[in-house]
Amino acid sequence: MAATSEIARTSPGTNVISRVKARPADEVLRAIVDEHYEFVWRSLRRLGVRPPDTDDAAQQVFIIVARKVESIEPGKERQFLFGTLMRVAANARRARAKLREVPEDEASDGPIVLPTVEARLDRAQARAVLDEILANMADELRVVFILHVLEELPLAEIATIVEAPPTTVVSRLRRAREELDAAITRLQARKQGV
Amino acid sequence: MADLDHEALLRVQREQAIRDVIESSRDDVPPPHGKERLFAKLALEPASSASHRSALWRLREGASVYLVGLALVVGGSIALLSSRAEEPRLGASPANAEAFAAAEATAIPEAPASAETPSSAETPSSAEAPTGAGVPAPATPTDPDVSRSVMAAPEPRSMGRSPSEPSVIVPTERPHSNPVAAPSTPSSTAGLATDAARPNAPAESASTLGREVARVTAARSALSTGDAARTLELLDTYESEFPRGTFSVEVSVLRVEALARAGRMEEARRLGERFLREHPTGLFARRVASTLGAVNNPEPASVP
Repeated sequence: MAATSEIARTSPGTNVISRVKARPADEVLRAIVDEHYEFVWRSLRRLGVRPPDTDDAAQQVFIIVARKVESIEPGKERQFLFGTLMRVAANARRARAKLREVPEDEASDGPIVLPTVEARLDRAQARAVLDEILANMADELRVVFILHVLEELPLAEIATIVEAPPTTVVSRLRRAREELDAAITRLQARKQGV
Repeated sequence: MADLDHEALLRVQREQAIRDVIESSRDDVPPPHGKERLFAKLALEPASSASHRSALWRLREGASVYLVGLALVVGGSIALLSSRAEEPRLGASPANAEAFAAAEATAIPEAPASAETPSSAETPSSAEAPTGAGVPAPATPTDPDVSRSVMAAPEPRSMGRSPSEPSVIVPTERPHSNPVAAPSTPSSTAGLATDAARPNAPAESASTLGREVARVTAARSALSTGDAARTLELLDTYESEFPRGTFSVEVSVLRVEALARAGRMEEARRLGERFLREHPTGLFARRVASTLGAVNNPEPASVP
């Protein structure tokens, strides 16, 4: 219902004829959802918003987009989306932390060990490891890591999104990789019983 | 020396683990119908917009745009069908064709009838109507997919015809039981008959979707626990139950992964490569490609 009133606000008149005519704002919004929904969902997920919260958070992001769709410059959709979803993710994480006294990561801390070489890391385990590593990463590193390593965006675009010079992005990326390496090494050590 | 070997082993293991960790994000995808829910939430209509629009046009501009509108509806329902069955299967195509034929059968003979004055064209249909009413009744409930797809086509007709064409002659709810269309194929009468059953259709397709989601979720969780045999069983069930299911793409991906997990590498590779030919890009493609990569190099750590 809230969404319907959203539409009413963005397009004047809701009678049949105006609904038949093309609504540019709606078309833009639809295109944005179509193209970026998966990106938004994955980014939220990697920023620590776990299912079932991920769906709600994605909806929040696009509701904000719907409200501001006319002020988004063409070509800067992803930048806008990522800025929005970072704030939504931070809120969602805070809300979740308030809900649970014990952080979820504690539970997964114990059982994760690297398996032997033959049996590769199970997907669910691997994802738990990834979640843990990203959760422990500083925000600025995590964002760059997600956008470059997981989303495979070019560095120039990442620089635009995070509003930092490309050299900064590169050095953050290097530090993020080092943290990943160190975290995996720690897991390995845990397995070796060191 | 042993220390060096051990060190190398650890390094290989670490690199593999990093790859695994990064790969694990690839198949962490939104729920299959998440986007649809979002569209609904934003009051956008991605798939049904074509049929919606054509119905409105028809109301405004009358019978002259009838064919255009109907073409849009038919096109829309076929687009809907084909998007549901993104992965073309042997089992699915005849059913698709049947639905298409049914929609066409209702559409084509329609054109002259609406162009002429209705009185002469409809006179003989009074005799036709009772037989038409008797035939389709058993056909509709047996194949929900056909009725669901065809129902989109007759809808605007029943909405739009009432002001311009008197329905004195035919007392039933199906004013256009056309003398040409009715006897030609049984599927066209089935299509007409679904007019009456239309109000039930959305509820039915919603519950179908619920069942589909449940099946896919079950298969996915079976796979995540590593029970490949059970996963394959569940996927078989899904495909026999919903040969043109909404999640056929997702199911294909799960099948490749389950086959790989079960050690049936040859089948996994064959299916995966076919999948990649049909869906060369996108997240699912990356997922399949990464699975196939693991199939093709099952023992990357055996490199000295």
